[in-house]
Amino acid sequence: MQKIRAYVEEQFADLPETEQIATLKEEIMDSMEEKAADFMLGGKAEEDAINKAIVDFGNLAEIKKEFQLQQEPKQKDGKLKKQKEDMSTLNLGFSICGSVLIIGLLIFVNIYYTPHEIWFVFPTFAILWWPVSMAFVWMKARRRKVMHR
Amino acid sequence: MDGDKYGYQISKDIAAWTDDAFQIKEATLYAVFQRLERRELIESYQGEKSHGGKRKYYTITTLGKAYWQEAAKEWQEAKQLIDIFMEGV
Repeated sequence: MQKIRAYVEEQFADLPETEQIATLKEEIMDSMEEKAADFMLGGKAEEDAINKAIVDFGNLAEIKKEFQLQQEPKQKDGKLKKQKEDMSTLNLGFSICGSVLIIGLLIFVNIYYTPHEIWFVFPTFAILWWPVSMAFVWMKARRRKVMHR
Repeated sequence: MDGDKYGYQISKDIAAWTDDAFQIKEATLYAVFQRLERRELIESYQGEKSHGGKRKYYTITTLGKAYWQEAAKEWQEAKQLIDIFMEGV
C-alpha cells in the first residue's frame, strides 16, 4: 500500500502543504487503498490490485483543477489588483506634492528676480499635466475597483 | 440518498444501482464533491476510525436539498420536451 501513498504524494507535490490539501490527500489515499483491498478480495495479487486501483480511480488532475479554482480567485484577484490601485493613489499624491513644490519655486524666482513681468503661469500649465494625468489613472483604477465588486 | 456516506462507498453504490452500467471515476466524484462543498450544497465531517483511517462522510445540506428539488423539476421539464421531440423515432 506504500505505492499508493507515494503516487498520491507525487501527484500533489506541486501544491502547497496546507491542512485542506492534507485532508484531501488522506481521503484519496484511503479511498484508493479500500479499492485495492476490494480487488484483492476479488482474487487479485497485491501489485495488480494497487495498479488497477490507481488506474480506475481516474485522473487526479481533475480534483486538483477543481481545488485550485476555489483558491485562485481569492488570492490572485484580491492581491494584485489591490497593489495596483494603492500605487495609483500614491502616484497621484506624489504628483500633486511635486508639482506644488516646482510651481512654488517658479513663483518665488519670478517675484524675486523679475517682479514686473509675470511669466511663471506658462511653465505652470506645462507642469500641471503631471498631476492631471495621474488623476486620470487614479480615477480609472477606482472605477475598475467598483466594477469588480 | 439514504444516510451519510463516504466517497468510495458512494461510487460503489452508484455502480450497484445502475448494475455497473455507470461506473463513476472516484477522481470525478471527488472533484464534484469539492464543487458542491464550495457551493455549500453538501457538508463533510470526519467519521469514526475504521481501517486505520478516519473517513470523511458527506451529507446534504438544506440548501442542497432545495437545489436538488429545483434541478429535478428542471430535468423533468427537459425530459418531457425531449420525449415530445423523440416521438415516432
